Amino acid sequence: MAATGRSGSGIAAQTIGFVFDGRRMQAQTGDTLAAALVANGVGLVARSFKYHRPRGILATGVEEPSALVTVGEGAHAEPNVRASDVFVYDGLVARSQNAWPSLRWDVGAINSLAAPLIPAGFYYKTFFGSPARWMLYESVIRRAAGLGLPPTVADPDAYAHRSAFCDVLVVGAGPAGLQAAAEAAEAGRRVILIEQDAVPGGSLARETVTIDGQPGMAWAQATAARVRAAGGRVLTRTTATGYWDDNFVTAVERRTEPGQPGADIAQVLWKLRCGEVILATGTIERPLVFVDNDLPGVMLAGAVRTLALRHGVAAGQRVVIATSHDDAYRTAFALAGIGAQIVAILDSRTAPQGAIIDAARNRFAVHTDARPLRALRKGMQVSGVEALVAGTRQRFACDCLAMSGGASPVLHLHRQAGGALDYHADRGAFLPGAGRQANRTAGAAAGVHDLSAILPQAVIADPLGAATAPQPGPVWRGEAPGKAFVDFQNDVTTSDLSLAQREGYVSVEHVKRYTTLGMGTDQGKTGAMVALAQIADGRGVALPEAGLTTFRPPYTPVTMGAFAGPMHGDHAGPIRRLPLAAAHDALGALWVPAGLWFRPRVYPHAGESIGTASLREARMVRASAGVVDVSSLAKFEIAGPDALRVVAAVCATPVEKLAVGRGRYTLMLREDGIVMDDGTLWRLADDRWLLTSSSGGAARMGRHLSYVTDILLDHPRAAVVDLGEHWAGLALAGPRSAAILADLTGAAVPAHMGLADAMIAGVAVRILAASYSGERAFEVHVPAHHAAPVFASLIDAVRAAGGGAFGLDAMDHLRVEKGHVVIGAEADGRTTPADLGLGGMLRKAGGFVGWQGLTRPAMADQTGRRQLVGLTAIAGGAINEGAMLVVREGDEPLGHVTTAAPRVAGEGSIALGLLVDGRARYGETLFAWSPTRRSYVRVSVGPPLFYDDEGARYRD
Amino acid sequence: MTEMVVTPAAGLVALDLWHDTDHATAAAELGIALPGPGQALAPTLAPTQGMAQGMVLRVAPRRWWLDGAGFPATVPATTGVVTAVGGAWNRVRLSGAGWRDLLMQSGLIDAENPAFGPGSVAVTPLCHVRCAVHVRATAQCDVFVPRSYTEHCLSLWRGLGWHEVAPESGELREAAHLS
Amino acid sequence: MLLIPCPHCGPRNQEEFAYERSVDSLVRLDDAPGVAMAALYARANLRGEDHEIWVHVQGCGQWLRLTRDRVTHAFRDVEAL
Repeated sequence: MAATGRSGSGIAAQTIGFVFDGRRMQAQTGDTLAAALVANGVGLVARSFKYHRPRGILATGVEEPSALVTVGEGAHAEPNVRASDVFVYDGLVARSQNAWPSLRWDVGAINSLAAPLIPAGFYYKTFFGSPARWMLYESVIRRAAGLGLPPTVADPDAYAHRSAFCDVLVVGAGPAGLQAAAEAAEAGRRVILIEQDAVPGGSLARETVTIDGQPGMAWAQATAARVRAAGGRVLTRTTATGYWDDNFVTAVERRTEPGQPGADIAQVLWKLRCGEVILATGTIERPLVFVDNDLPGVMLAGAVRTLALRHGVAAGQRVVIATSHDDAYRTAFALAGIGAQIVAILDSRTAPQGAIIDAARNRFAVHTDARPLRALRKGMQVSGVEALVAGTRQRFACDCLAMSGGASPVLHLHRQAGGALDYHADRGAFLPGAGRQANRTAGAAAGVHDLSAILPQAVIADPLGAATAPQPGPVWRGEAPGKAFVDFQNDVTTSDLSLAQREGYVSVEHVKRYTTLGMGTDQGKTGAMVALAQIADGRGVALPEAGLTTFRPPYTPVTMGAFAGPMHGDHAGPIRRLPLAAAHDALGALWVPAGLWFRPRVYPHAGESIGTASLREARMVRASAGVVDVSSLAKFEIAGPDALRVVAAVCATPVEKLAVGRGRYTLMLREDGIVMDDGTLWRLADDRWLLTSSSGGAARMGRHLSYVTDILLDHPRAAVVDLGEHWAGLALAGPRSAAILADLTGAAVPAHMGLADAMIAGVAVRILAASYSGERAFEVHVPAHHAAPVFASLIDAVRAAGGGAFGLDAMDHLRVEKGHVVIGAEADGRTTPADLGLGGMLRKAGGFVGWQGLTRPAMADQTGRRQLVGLTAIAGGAINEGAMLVVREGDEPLGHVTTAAPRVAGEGSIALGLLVDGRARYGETLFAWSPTRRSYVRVSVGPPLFYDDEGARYRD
Repeated sequence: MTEMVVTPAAGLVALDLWHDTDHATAAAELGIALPGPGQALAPTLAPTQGMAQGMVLRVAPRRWWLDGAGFPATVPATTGVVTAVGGAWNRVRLSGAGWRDLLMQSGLIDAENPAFGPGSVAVTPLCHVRCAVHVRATAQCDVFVPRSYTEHCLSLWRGLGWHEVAPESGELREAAHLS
Repeated sequence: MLLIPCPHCGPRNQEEFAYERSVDSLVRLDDAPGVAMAALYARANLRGEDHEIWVHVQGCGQWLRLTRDRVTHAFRDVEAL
């Protein structure tokens, strides 16, 4: 491929600079990297995946399997970019990949010599044994066979997500797509037209046709402008990557080219909900199968023509064209038009007929019943072809071999949408059958190639006559020794297919996985149909009988950043902020994520560790008073004449006799009898209740309440209102808390499990006397937008009493000492109320969600169940959360530690745990064993209560 | 113009009617308009009737948001129930024709549809957060954002080129608890 | 992603909804334990139509019953619950 220089492509272009493998080169604006490399005479672009064979440009579209390069530098580097799918910008830097030390002198190419030793299924046959051995093999394999390297730093590009709705989505801005889009838009429908190329036109870029007196590409521009003028949206450089249920299509728009820094948004992921989808996705040309058909300089004929007509680049000066149908003849005329010599046209058909054949015979050496057997090589480049011409071997010297083995309609989206395929033996191709969604296929993708059929109203002038349907190339039967490739990206040859077949891999899905056929980033766009024909031939069946593998999204590879969009960093999961976040910051809070919430963990003094600080805070609560933010707790009001029915169905504890102004601890169960959540239930008025439950379970509880109300109880006269965010909650705990609160409110405080309305700092609040710490305690509920002055007053008051704010860790220490359970730790989705020692709380009469589940023998019989126990470290050492409870190191565990804590009242390490038959084991000694933390602590088993057994401290 | 003004939706009250409550009868009884699905209306039924000022938004099959002043503080137990919910929500007022674009970048409803015009209401996830959108004018809409997620949404919208403008009263912003 | 016709809001994307259960696994509060456990654990999952309970959890909160083809995912009917 010695081609350099440009012929007039008729496009005013500017010269820009780029670098490939350290070499500075020039390109013209509008060039793909593939075009620019060919124009600069670069034939060798890449090394193949497995054998490290030299590879060049094969195609000019997204189907390019071979010419994968890394584009960009540093953090902007993007590996595995198809050279045909990046438009050159000034300063573009591209590197070849999978070659060391250089593309020309690649050590890995030794694999090519060892090729007979690396047949299909090589890995499966060679690297077997224990998983540990696989780990070793894998690192070696990954280094030897691979693609480009991912950047090691974070992607600096910005990505956006964008939704759009339309009546008609048209995929592909070739003649059929443009026509459909313009018609729909001008009929007043909401239209979106997307095109993966930078400009509309599609196949017109490789034709010399005029439409209504305009050159094809100018007509395309004008028609796209018509779509826009009629209110349609035209997105270029946008690829439809997936077609999902209910006409939902995802597309990726590239606003910058690969590796190009500097733009606001690099890529946009479009989510398109469409009334109707028109797939005008065209075709992808197929290679011919012959030995060394992967040599640089062997290219698809359509690609050679695109280079000539769109970019003014001759892929060679002496070109042989090998084809099985009419289309490649057009390439001969196009090349001749820019001054290249057509050495020969080799047509595999015995008696091709038609105007274009006749025209070609007048100008070129056309050989029929002729097909290539072997590409001849000089250095890293094709130098000729050995062909079988009417049964005789002949050699033709050339610097470019343009081949075409037919074309495959691009039906990926049609198939993803669930559409059927119809096989047409005369074309050796599948055409779209019945669609399952509101979609249809138009143009070449539907098998219509004649422009006058696609644009019936237009005046078409094509000097080469109407295009005809492509026909498939001949099946390769090993007529010459050597490697004939069907999958260029994954280095799959016809021998691999035969071997798989001999070894019993008959199903195409098995052949695919055994040989890796079609499993590259190109998903076998160029060669899959050729391979299927080979497989069918080998089995002696018709092609459809050999089967077809699944078309999976995405159609072309999608950068992970496009999926993430703006949802990364702090937005990877939305952060929920407490209403008093700023006030906690002012107090020096150290934050900890709790679900999506960020909550104060501790308020450390200078130089204090987290552990020291949390223990200090917990002891402060036992000694005087503390305030902890419990705003994230779930809170629901259930109100209406039938509210009691809702409460009674959701809560498994007695509710009916709860007096107005009183509350009690309650449990909510799943239908299988397992504890779903716990909380407190308060009767605000005769027909108005407040239910609090765990922060982490808030969304689940909200949905559960809604389910019970609307589905199980069939719309009682009661409303459930989620007030979790409406009320900020501040828990005031400690022996001084009642006095502090009485002082602040100027009123008597409610008795334990009573409630009262009061004023603090001029704000109306609700006070619930409930204790989670074991001390006398109150929850102050205040509407969130009024929380700041109330919190400030509480903090001032507790500080004056020798207390202060405390965080989640201290709260955890305090509740462990009292044996209070936490949803997710002790109530871990496997525990029943009885397992937690709370079985006695349940309503005997049932009637709540989960009562049936509790009657199952495995639940009702307590023998053998894991029960909540308290654990105390006997001889020092800290118990580890998650440690196994064993009789001896190495034994099967009898249970595990659910939460560990330091003793607040006293010294030492205590924990809660779930232990088989735990309540029968009080007094036993076990070990809390954690091999991963190398911890083995002797513990005694006892009841889950370490402090104030009688509950004297929290009662009035 | 791409301006956001954030204030607490402090006065917001939820009105729930029972499943078997007739909406038209309840509207007459309460003296306020009760808009249909996806709609918001000024509360006044007739010039002579009712005292309420502000807006009534339909946010669920049996729930309306009463946003303003002068709404009934209680409703008969045979009809439904009202519950104050304003602490839970901040109101982000988006001024600028680009609000439709902002919604299309944050969620998955057809905000570009001309039918989604002034008076329309949609409850839908924006930035993965369940929000309520109320279209006020061709170039203005209110987004009710849960208080705890407000900063999350605002920071994403700032990234889309929207900038925050202080409300007329600085205290309001403070009450919205934005750091 | 499915487009689910919410009886209150109109068609919305699947991500706004949560699937609750098939109607045949509904457990009523007064179901006998045997009946309840059979509904939860001993269900058929046949080819053909399924009646499913969904909720518009990220939207208006409406519960709905969808009649869906288990093979094609096509909805035949929707009913507000």
